Parts: sequence; C-alpha cells; structure tokens
Amino acid sequence: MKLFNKYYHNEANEEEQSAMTELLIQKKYDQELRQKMSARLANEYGIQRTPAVGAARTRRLQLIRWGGSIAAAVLLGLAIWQISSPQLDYQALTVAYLSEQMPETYRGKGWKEVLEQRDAAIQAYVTEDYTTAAQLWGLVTQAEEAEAKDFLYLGLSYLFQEEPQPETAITALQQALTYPDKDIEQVSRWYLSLAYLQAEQPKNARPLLEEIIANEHWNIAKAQELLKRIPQQ
Amino acid sequence: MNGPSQKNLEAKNFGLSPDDFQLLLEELWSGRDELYQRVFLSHFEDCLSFLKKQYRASHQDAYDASMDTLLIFCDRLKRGRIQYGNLRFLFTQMAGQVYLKNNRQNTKYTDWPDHLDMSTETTENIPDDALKAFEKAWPQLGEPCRGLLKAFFYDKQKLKDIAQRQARSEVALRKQKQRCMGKLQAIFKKQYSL
Repeated sequence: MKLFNKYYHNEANEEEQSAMTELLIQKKYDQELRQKMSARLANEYGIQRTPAVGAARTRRLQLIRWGGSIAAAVLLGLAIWQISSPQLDYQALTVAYLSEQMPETYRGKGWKEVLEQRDAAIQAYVTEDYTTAAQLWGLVTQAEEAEAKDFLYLGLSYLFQEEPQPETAITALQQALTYPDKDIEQVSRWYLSLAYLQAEQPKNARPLLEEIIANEHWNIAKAQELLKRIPQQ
Repeated sequence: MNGPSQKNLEAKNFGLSPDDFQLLLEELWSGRDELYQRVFLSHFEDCLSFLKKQYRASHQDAYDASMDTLLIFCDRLKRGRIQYGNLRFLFTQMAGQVYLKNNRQNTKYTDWPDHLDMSTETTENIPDDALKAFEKAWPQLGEPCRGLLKAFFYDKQKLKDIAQRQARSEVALRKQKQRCMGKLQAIFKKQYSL
C-alpha cells in the first residue's frame, strides 16, 4: 500500500510511478485473461471452478452403488472359496504367498520426481536462472536420493544469484562436505571458503583455505592469494 | 536430434518444439495470447490432478492455483525468464508453490523461505475499489497512449523495438511514455478518492 499511496498523492518518483503503472495495467489485463481462460475452460473442457452440485451428488451416489456391488461380490467369492477349497499345505501356501510381487521400494518413493527436478535444476543453472535452480535443488536436497553434488549446486545457485545469499549457501555447502565424495569435497571446500568471505566471516574461511593449500587441492594458487590478503586476527 | 528424443523433449514442453516455443514468445510479445491459451489450457486438467494428488488440494484451491500459475507463467515467459527445456515440470512445480502460498495459513509449509517463492513479482496490494476505478480510467486515455503503455508494461516489448516499428526515435518514445503515465495518473485520480 505504501507505493500505491505515494502514487495517489503524486509523491512517487519516476521509477515508482512506472512500477505502479505497470502493476495497475498488469492487474487489469491479467483479470481479462483470467476471465477469457475461465470461460474457455468451462466451454471447451468442461472444467469449472465450482463443479455443479448435482453432478457431484450423482457421482457420489454412483460411487456408493458401485462400492456396495463390489463388496457384495467379494463376500460371495470368499464364502464360495471357504466351502470349496481343500486345506492348503505349507508348500501350496508358500506358492500362494509368492504369487504376489513385493512392491518395489529399492529406489524410494518419488525417485522419478527427484530425477526430473534435478534435470530441471541443471537446465536452470546452465541458463543462469539461479533463483529457479536454487529452488529446484532445494526440493531435490529434501529427498532421500540427494547426493553431495545436489548440495554443492544448491550452494552455488545461492552464490551466483544477482543478490548472492552466502549464509544460505554456507549451510548447503557444509552439507555437501558431509558426503564421502572426494571430488565434490574439494570443490565444496573452495566455494565454502568463498561463501564465508562473502558473508564477511574470514575467520571461518581461513582454516578451509589452509586445508586446500596443505592438501594441494583444487584452486591451490587462488587459495594462497586469498590467504595472503585475509587480515590476521 | 533424432525422432524419439525430439518427441520426448516436446512432451516435456507441452508438445512444443523449440521453434514453436519461439513462436509462442513472439505471439505474446505482440499482445496475442490465443496460442498460449490453446497450449496451456489443454493441460489445465493435468495440473489440477497434480495438485489434488500431491497436496490433497480441494478442486477450488487447485483451480485457483492453476489459474494463478497460468498468469504468472505467461508473465515470466514475456519477461524472458523461462527457457525451453522442461516447461511441463516447471509449470507444475510453480503451481505447487502458488498453491502453498495461496493456502499458507492452512498448511505446515509456512516456513518456506521467501527466495523460493515464485508466485508474484511484487507484493504491493492495490485496493479492489482502486482497480475498479482504474477500469474506468483506462478507456479515457487516448488510444496511442494505451497502445504504448500496454505494449511496454504488459506485453513486455522493449522500447527500442516499439520505436523501430513506429519509425520513431527511442528518446521521443520514452518522453511520450512518460507523458502517458502522467495523463493516466491524473485520470485515475479523478476516478478514485482515498
């Protein structure tokens, strides 16, 4: 409301006036587009915001009727089976138990979504849409399937944004370092040291840079340069 | 690119090839949304199902979130902030974000960080009666001004491109835009009193 009040009272500067004009026009034409699309959804696709009450009731009644029929058929089947089947021995029972496949849980629930999210995150990252990339990697890293690389790129996506978010990047990069992945560890350590420096925490960056140098890790020369410039506490 | 992978890619992009996608952008920048509606409305039901299944959304909440996402997605396309790649996935993810934001008070996702929020470009609220007043003010602005302001602010055309099309200088057009904004503001103030 602050901007709107300034606009209304002629107190907005050129940029603010422009922002308010854009917002008003955007709202107006969005509303028109919303109406057009709602009408089209209803007319061409039969989709309405509020489904017709009668239709929902009919569907509910139909479901109750179907449910009743299915339950009756199952009960009847069970009764016939009880009467007609001979006593099963353990082998027959084993075969019966093995006739149903164990549901696949090897890859964990939602693994396909994770793959797709990672794919989209990479796509966003390479096109330098770091905000979207961070968001998507944020989702990936919540999944069981998350890997060190996901946390690394989540951190990088925060660091490369127009307005970098080093504090958030630090958390992600620290997570990346908890995985036993040597290659990712080197890269993560380097960027974590940069994140600390960007967040004005040179004290935390120093030991990381020293470790890079001691272990002759990736970017050793750059680490040495930085270390020279960090003031001694 | 071979046949199947091309098909796969198109499936991930609402059936659009990279050329179709470019055409879609050009249509939107020209102020025409027919193609956008045709492509995206045909997938509206999928989005509803996704929200209902993933978030146990009610029909109305799923409908509202999908509709809001259609508008936001359209705006982001025009701003050049969405790239061809996996539009279908991005769209449903955005719809999820919008759903969560719309229902923030009622969900456990209240602590989603703001930087993950994809639902709106601005948080400024405008009173409903002010929007109604703007509806009345807008037609009172002359057609040249309306055309220019809509092309620039809604269709997201660059001033340079508008100037080129009208065979005018960018500087002259910028001045005209400024005058038009002033006129619109004055008309709006006559229609609306705080």
